[in-house]
Amino acid sequence: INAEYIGIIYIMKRKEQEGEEEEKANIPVKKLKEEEVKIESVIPTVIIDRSAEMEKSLSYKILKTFNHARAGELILNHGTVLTPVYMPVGTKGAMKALTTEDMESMGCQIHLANTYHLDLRPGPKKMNEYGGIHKFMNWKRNILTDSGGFQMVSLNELMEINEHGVKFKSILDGTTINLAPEDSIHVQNQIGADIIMQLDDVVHSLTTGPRVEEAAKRTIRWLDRCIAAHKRPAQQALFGIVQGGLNKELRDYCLIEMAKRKLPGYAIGGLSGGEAKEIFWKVVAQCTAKLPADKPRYLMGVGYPEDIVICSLLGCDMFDCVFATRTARFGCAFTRNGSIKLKKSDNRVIFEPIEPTCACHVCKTYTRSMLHELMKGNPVALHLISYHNVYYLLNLMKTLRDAILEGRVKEYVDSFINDYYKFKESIPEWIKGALEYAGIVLTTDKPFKGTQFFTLCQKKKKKKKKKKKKKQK
Amino acid sequence: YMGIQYFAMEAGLFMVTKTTLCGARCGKVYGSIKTPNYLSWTKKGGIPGISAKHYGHLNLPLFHFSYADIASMEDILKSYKDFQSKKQTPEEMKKLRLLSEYTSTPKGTISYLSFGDVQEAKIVASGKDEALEVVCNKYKNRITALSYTQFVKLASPHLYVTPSEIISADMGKKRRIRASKQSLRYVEECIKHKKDIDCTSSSLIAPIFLSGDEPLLCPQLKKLASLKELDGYLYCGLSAMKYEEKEKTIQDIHTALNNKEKLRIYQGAGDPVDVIFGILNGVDLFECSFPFKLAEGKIAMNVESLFSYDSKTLSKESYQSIKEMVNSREIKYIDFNEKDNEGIQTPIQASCECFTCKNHTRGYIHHLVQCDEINWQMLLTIHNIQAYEVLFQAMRKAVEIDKFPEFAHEFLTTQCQSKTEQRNYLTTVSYTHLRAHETLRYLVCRLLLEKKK
Repeated sequence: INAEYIGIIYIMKRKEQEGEEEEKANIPVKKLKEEEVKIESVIPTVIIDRSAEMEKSLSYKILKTFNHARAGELILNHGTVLTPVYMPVGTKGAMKALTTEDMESMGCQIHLANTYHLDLRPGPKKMNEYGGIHKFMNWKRNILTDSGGFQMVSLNELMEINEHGVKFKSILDGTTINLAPEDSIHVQNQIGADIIMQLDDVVHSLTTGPRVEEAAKRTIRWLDRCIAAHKRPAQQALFGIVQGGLNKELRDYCLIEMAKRKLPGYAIGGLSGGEAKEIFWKVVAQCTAKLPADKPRYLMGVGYPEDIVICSLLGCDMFDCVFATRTARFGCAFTRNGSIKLKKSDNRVIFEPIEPTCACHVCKTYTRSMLHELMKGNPVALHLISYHNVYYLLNLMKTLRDAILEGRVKEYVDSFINDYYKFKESIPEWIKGALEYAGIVLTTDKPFKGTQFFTLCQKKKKKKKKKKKKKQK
Repeated sequence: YMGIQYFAMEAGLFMVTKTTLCGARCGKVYGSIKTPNYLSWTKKGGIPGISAKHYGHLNLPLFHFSYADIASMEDILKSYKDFQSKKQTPEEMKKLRLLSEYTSTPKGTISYLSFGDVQEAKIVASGKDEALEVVCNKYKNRITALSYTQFVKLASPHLYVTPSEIISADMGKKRRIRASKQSLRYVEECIKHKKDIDCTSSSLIAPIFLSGDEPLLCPQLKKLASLKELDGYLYCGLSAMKYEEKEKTIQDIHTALNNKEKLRIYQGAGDPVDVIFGILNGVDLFECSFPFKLAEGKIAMNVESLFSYDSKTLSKESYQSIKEMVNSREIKYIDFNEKDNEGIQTPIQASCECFTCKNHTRGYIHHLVQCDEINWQMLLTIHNIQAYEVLFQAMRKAVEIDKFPEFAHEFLTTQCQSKTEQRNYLTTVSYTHLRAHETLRYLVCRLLLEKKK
């Protein structure tokens, strides 16, 4: 077939697909009544400049860059964090199935805890009596606490939101809890984490309409209230969270307002909720392009291996996701060639480790066969697979950082993508677009999903299968 | 703590190094592992809740595998053997302990294969076709003495117990005698097959079912005593008996078997109080899951082995009071199901050197239990194993210096409390958590197992 003809078809198809995706993204998930959209009388806020105090809580140095990607050092109260970094999630003051010794041994420098859950149990008073979360957990390195904003989305049925704050129903006993921005900051001050997050108005990423604008603007007003209420600005770095859904203008609005507040760091929120990847990476790129370059950027809720590599190349420095430990509990383990399901019976007689190139103690000691058997009745299997998954992601960020410092990012990304999609038919199209933006062109024979070339290959495969069946008959 | 993987069979399985007037004795298994000691219970080849990384902190010389757990892994072990044969020389393959290698147990540990935890084991057919129909969860199989010995040769544990019918105390005398005779037949056949198929790297342990009917079982006991190829005995059913019956029974068994040089293993004794009874009656190894089951029930051992080894010799009255205390006391413990632990900023035990006590407080563990974070099981298992190991070290030392009755008396008076009510380690759970179709039948209501019409 004529190559020029393919090129033309490709361009036409791509435009069609972009149009389809935009349409899909605009399909409203939630139809709001007019009453819900009425903006209540807002509590006006003033920008208070506490940047001088807040500067002492955190220091960020960029050592080397590759286009948008950066390798840096984040100096906090409990040690240095090398970026880009993956932060495992210990929601209730403990990493699921991993002890503090495990986390130290795998080189974890910072992890997450959640304010909403710690507020319920053990509560800020008891946490204060213990002397803060570091002593409570016996964790000597850094901790970041989320404000409880995400629970607005995850516990939607138990939640009511207005200008004052959020009303939750406790998951323990059903009592009503009021969480205003001041309350969230107060609790986080008592928990004593090194980085704290503002309380933001979070909406589901697929929400459209006036609600998104309301959430974006309210997030800025709540940020001002959080800054005013913050009692330990020199010890705890307060991060603002950029909202705005998938709307470019609202995102820009948030970015401009956030920059005015001169915070120690910024987070990108409201993503990773089911939106199309093509839109997802563009929103991330938009945010990283306009956030202050000398401050760390934290992309919230993103944790698939390919996502954190691509988003690091787009300019993000910090990531968190429960996926590593959650998927481990279902028997899924990360490898260079994608994830494997250890519960599958194929693994019964595979006497190799999960990932031969992995240096974690699980891969050095246990075979896939043994892990498959342990999953049938021994709770230690959850610990082992969780350990491997978290180690894998921490190591992934470490190797990417080394590649940035040594100036071999293209080779690294090339190798990573080709290995990761080795056993799959194609590489997702969005990765190509994101990498092009990041200044990397992949050298691969594998087609990209959604291209004309890919559909032609699929047709050829189908023809071959039909021929085989005819011969067999 | 130990460097060699393969023990020299020339050293022999067991050697008594010290005997005392009170009945306690010290010994060595394979020339290096001291007794009295305990066999660490495993599930699917690993200790529940803790990984091989933690084995290094804890001194675990003996691993207990149950046939019920690993019977379904026979095909895997065969494939693994083929896999290893490509990597190792024929000489190395002869010495390889396949089960230990597959389950990644630390080098230098001893593997022990028991027939316990089997749900059902019934004799089917008779004569030459006699077999045991064994049911372990979903796995069902018919085994003969030959097929079992072949499995043992494949897995090559250091010690193994011969298979037998499951006997309970509520069974009739005739049934118990029949089961005892069957057990003896299997022992004899296993000895024969062991020679025929060259399974000499594993030591054979014969089970003895004790229920107070020992006079009825005398012919079987005499026959067992005459079998010189046996390396040891497993005493089953003692835990269900009353103290006076237990003591008399075990002494009669020792006399009938005349087994001073053989290894004696006690099935089902886990509580340190039961262990003290066992040691006073000359038992060497304890097959139990006590520290693990305790941790699963969210309970931590709270005993300190601070024993004054230069204490005075016990009076007769004190010596006799040991028997009463063994009957009526249990170890002190901390129950994390209770709210008392909230906010406590001290470790479980100040003198304990385990990872849990060095790094975490009772209040934190209580928080984990309340939030249902799986970490509590890891931390409590680590603590309980460490406390158990330290206790055994203290008991061994007391026997070595001939002060075991004094140790027992001090331990029972200071580290134990009266039995208030029977501690139930089993807790109620929801149906979906239970996975009723995979749970032993005596733990789950049969109505849940019936199919919906």
